[in-house]
Formats: sequence, structure tokens, C-alpha cells
Amino acid sequence: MATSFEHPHDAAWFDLRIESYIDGELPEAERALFAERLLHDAELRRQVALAERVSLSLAAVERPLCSEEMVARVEAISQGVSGSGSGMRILSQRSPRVTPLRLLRWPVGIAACAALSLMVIRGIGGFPETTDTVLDPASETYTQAEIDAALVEAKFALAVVSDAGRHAGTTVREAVIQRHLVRPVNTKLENTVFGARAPTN
Amino acid sequence: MKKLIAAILVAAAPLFLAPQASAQVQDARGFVDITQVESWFSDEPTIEVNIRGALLNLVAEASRFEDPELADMLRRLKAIQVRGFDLSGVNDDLLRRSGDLGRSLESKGWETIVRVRDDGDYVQMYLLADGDVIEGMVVLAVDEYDDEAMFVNIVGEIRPDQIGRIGRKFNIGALEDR
Repeated sequence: MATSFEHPHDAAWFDLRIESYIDGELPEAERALFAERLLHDAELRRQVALAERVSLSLAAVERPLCSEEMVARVEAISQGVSGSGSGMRILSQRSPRVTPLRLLRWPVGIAACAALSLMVIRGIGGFPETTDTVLDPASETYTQAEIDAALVEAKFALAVVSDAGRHAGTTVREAVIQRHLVRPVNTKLENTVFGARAPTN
Repeated sequence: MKKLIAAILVAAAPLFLAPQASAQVQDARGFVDITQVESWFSDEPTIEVNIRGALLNLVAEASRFEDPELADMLRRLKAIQVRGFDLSGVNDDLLRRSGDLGRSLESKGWETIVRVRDDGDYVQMYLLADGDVIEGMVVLAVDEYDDEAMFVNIVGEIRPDQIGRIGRKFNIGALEDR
């Protein structure tokens, strides 16, 4: 895009500040620079308009609830504490170029986008209905309790199959192999062996 | 800004793909509409399990540390469906209907691997295979002593020895009590 507007800051400088500008979080000097650039840069105006639409959409989305466990873990990470026995470990610090505000925006933004996407999918009838009255795939989220319950149910199903297979195997072994193979052969052998050794007295 | 848009697309992509994945479960060769057996009984099922799609993945992930082999098996499955019914008050058509269902499966390429009727126990097991890969399993088990009928359909890549080995670790009674 051609523009005659010259500015000491490059396009990336403005790009990084679009969200802060929308949220009114830029320092006054930077805000003035940004506003001035907007007057002359059509591409930047387009980016700002897009960001405003995204921001409004996200603001309208119901905030996903975060479990207390997750909050505790995030707090532990933010304090630089390695969770005792939790398997969490802070390997490195983030780049100092990334502001804490931006760090916070990513997970919130992604979570909000996920919720928005779910609402869209449900709105267009995405997930097909099932007859499941216990756990419905159309549910937007699963609690840990639901996942644990499903794990128990999966184990139960496997146990049923295993039990049926074991029972069938036992039946086949006893009713077929033992009755029609092992016993007749044993009887035949006994008759043959002991018949041959029959007492002669 | 571009990163934010990219994040939106990345976050949303699996969710938009989810309906397609869920629909594929019902299109899978090993999938059996197990709800058809519900019409055989006057009462609601006493046990109803439908685990598929994202939930099945979550369940596999939840068992990863506790039982890696179970997690490995669950990851290769597409669906687990169970219906359990109380036999009290059931008409005598149950075994005939089970036989009809078995013949229907056989006509669709399923192989009968077990059919046992022994002193109040009735077990039918069917497998649907594509070459060496088993794509589905159906178990119909009727226990007249316990007045219980169980219908199981497992969809996905199945290794029967793995199911037997893993399933033996779980005690049905203990799981039912939970």
C-alpha cells in the first residue's frame, strides 16, 4: 500500500499496539502517534476495524468458567513455583519484549474464541444429536467428574467384553473340548492301557 | 493482530471439525445402531454408555498416566456403546431377536466368533474385520440367573487380546458399585 505519510516507527510498531489502542491502554504520546497514523494509513484502519469487530464479538461471548484447580495451577506458574508433585515446571522466562498484558490476552482470547466457536457450531446444529442421556457430545465442556465417570464406563464396557469372552472360552473348553475330546480320549486310553494290563489272576 | 487471528483459527479449527468427526463415527463400518435393542424392552436401559469423539479422547488422556496400555487402546477406538437391561418382565422373544440381530450382522459381513448357550447364559460375539484389522466388535450377553442382558458395541481398531488383557483388570461388580 502506497502512502506518503512518513513516521519514525515502522508498521510492526503500530501493529503491536492495535489492541492496546482499541482498549484505550496506550500512553498519551503513543495514542496520539497512532491516531495520526490512522488518518493516513488505510491498511492500519482496516486492521483496527477488524480488531474492533473481534473485540466486540469476544466481549459478547459468555466467559468459560475456569476450574479452581486450573486457577491454582496458573497462580503457581505466575509465582514461579513448581507445583509439588503436579509435574509442572517453569523451564524459562518469557521474552522481556512480551508485556504481561499480552501474555494474559492470549489464553483469554483463545478460550473466548473456543467458546464463540462452540456457540456458532451449536447455532448451526453442528454436533449431531445422540440418544445418550448421560454424556452428550454436544455439551460445550466436560468436567473432570464427567471424564472420570466416562473412564469408569469405558472400563466397564471392556470388562463386560472380557468377561463374556472368558465365559465363552470356559464354556467351550468345558462343554466342547473336555466333553467331546479330552474325556473320550482319556476313556479310550484308560480302556486300552488298563484293559491291556487287566489282572490275570 | 495477525497472530490473534491465527490464534482464533487454530482454536476454532478442531471445534469446526468436531461435527464431521462425530458424524464419521456413525459412518464407521464397525458402528452398530445399538439403540435398536431398546425397543425390545419395555423399561429403560439400566446401563447406558455412549463414549465417542472428543470425550473418548479426553478419557484416553485421563488414563494415560494410570494405565498407558488402556490409553493406547482407547486412542485407537472411535466409540464405546453399552446398553444393559433388566430381564424381569421381558417377553420370550429376546433370544429370537438377538438371533435376528446376529444374522443381520452376518449379512453385513460380521463374523460370528462365539455363540454359546449354556444353562441360562447366552453369549454372542461378532467381529467385523478388514484384513488383519478388526474394525468393530459386538457382544450380546444374556444372563438369565442375574436377570440381565448386556449389549456392547466397540468401534475402532480393536485387538481382542488387548481387550481381554485390559478387561480382566477391571472387576465388573466393583465398577457397577461406583
